Amino acid sequence: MESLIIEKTGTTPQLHFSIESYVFLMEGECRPENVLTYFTPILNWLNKFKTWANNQNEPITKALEFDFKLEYYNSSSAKFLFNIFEKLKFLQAQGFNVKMNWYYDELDEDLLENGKEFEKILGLEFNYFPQKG
Amino acid sequence: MGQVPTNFAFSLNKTMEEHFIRLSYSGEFNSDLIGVLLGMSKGTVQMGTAQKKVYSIMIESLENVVRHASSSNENPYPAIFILAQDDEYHYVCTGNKIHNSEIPPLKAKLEKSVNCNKEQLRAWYNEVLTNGQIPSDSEGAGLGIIDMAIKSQESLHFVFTPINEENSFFVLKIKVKQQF
Repeated sequence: MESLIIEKTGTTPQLHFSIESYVFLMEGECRPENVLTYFTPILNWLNKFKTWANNQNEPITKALEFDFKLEYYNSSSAKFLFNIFEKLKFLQAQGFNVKMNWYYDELDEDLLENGKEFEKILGLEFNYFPQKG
Repeated sequence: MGQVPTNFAFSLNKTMEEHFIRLSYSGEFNSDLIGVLLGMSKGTVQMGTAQKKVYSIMIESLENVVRHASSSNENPYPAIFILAQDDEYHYVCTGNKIHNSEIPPLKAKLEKSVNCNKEQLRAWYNEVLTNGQIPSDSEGAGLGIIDMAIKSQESLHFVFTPINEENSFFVLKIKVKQQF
């Protein structure tokens, strides 16, 4: 099992899912030209991670920190983000300490609201971090 | 063969002034162009909540035009994008050619968005978000119009003008209040 690193482009965020630090970062703008091509490897990696995390000799007690610092994501990406969050919810149900951290520009009330909607639909607690532009 | 009058630039400029147009593009649309137009819009919209909304609505509406690019890029009637601003509102406006068969479902969706309040729009958005259908690149996720209606907080305006038996020109205008 290796960490997943996808470099930032003009239309996709910096992604760093680390199996050393258990910090899972997605940062930047997300409006990939082909959403399926972009998100499929991420969803596959999370499936693998779930199996890997369940098969450690020493159970993982450290928090799994998911830092979503998305400045913008398009509506096609929203569906896939929802799929990612569903997997985090599943990890939590399996007993992992999942921390979902939602960063947003303090001027961006829609982004905050989107986080709250995800939280409501999923029943997964979100922590909110307003950022100064 | 028509002629391009020399004074064309001046009269176009005047028309743009009269209609408060800050930025306009007509021609071939592709995904690279979205980034270019976003970059150009940055100078015309003041930082703040309205700017976030305009940015987001621009992307969503331009992606819709690009999805129709195969027909929009044909002449005549190339697609158009307009960013305008009067004393109270920003306006994001797109126009593109669409096949007449596409009109009824699109029109139904637009009309539904106009008749929904914010809570109803959110409920509709969440329903589509969680319906398990995978977005295709040709059609998108089906969330674009609902998303724009939520962010705009104003009714979407739209017109379908018949071009011929097969096609119409679809114009979508979205308003965003300047002050929040």
